[in-house]
Amino acid sequence: MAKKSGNVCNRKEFLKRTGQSILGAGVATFACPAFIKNVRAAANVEYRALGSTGIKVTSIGLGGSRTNEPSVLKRAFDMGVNFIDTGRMYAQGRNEEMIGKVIKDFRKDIVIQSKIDQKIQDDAQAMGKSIDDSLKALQTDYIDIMIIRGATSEKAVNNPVVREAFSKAKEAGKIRLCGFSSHSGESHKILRMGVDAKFYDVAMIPYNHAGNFRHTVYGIYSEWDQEALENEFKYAVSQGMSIIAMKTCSGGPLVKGDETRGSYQDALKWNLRNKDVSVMAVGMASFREVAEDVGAMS
Amino acid sequence: MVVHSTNINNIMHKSLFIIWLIIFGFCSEAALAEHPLDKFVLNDNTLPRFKITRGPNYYRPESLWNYINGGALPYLDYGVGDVVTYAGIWGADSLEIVVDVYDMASNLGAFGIYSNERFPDYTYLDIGVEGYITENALCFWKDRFYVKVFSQEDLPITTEPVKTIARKLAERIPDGGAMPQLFMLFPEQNRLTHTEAYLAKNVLGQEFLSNAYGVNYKSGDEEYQFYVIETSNRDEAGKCMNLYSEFLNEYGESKIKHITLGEKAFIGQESWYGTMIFVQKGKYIIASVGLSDTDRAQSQLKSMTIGLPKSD
Repeated sequence: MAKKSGNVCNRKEFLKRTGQSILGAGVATFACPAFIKNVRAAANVEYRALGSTGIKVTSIGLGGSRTNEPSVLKRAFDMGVNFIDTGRMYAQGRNEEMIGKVIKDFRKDIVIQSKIDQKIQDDAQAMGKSIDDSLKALQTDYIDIMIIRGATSEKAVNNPVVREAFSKAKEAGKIRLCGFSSHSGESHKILRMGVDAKFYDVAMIPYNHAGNFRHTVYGIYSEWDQEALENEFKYAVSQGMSIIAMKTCSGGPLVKGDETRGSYQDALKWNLRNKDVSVMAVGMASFREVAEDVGAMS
Repeated sequence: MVVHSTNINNIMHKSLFIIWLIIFGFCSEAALAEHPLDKFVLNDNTLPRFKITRGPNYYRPESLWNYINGGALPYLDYGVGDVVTYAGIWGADSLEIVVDVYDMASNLGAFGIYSNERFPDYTYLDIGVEGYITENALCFWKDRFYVKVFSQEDLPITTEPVKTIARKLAERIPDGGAMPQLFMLFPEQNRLTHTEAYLAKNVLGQEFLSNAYGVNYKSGDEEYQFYVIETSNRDEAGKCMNLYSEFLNEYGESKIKHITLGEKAFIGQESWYGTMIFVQKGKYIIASVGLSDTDRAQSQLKSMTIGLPKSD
């Protein structure tokens, strides 16, 4: 899609100002400066530390695979979001290419997470190629976080081939952090294995107020022990690992008190109360969803 | 008593036999029942050099998540029904090849998902209605089906096996499907080939804009698009026009200006795309997106409105 030439609302200046303020802070909330408010809709953004890495991410991030529309991504970045999740497998790499176009003028201000398909987890060469393809598509020479997607067993978490591929990529400066995602109802057990492996920096885990997700589109159902999962989050964080939450809206809107209709913004706010979660990858497919989801940080 | 007991035994035996026949009949029928996509599972008889090693596995909209995870969302947007996938090895080199066949339930659904996954710089092939080959995959659409044949190895080592399998699959799909007629309306000047796309929803990131046909253009360094959005009726189109003008007024670079074109038209500046012109005619909205030469944009939009089908 075409891009209008020009700056992104003095975004770098905005990030420079706010970034200086948040150094050293684990969790901090900042209102956009007045000049931003004049140009864009106001958004308070909250930054959290990504483990002990020194990287700061907004507590609400973008799940990039949900849209093919670059203007929606730009809107979220304009509102201060600085984290985006994508994957080599999304739209055959096209999602990464779109993201690369949108962020190329402010790449260093964005924390990119991409994924390697677990189908190639036994082939270090294929994994290396996947990382190279992601770098090319994203128009960058480094990716902040690379994860192996869909770890559902100890084998995936402790696969020496995966470790070799990630280690080589780190040594080459192609990725900064590595991790895994898990979608199963036993994610807390997978997470413990991943933490005890003492190799990974991040884990991407389903987490929402319902303690389950019946995907709003697929209808597929998975549930977990909320208390056990949150305990594992604490354990992970205590060991220096960071939690990235997904399926954050898949538990449905959160209905409070006597309300008859809940809201997805409240569902996200429920997640935000857990400071063990560094960032949530939230799918945003429209301008309205961007406003609602980013607004949860306010 | 003995006679009576024998009769009872006979009756019981006959009854058990009948029950067994019924159960066996059901089981056999179930075992023999073919999945609608089984005709796309190529076995040794049809391709002697190809031997299936995994699958076939079948998925429905509610379970596609298990196969392609978050990648399933767009397939659902375009109405995916049944899906079959399997893997096999080819020839003495044991090259692994994976086949996915998506029944998208309609020609438009198949074209829609296909058009949203392709790139204009791929190598296009004469297969199905349209198909292309990438470093390690061949994809095409035909009738209501979207087919992908992957290889773990990079081409060209697997080019011929992948092409052979894809052509065999294409033969099993009845002829059908064609590029939607509305694409005939789009300007030819600066048009990028293989960029025609059907967008089911969230057009330009707006929930109120759906069912759109778009084509990409490039002039010098400037990239732009034209869209035809088909709404349900004139009133609906008018509401969408109002909503988009409100959006531009609130978030655009400047307030919109109304212009004389079609039944209703305006020009505005969007943050990512730049210049936008929206024109309504009947139930249709046509738009130029990112073309800074507004005179040329209006001229081409005018030509497009002339060719639009009549609508109330």
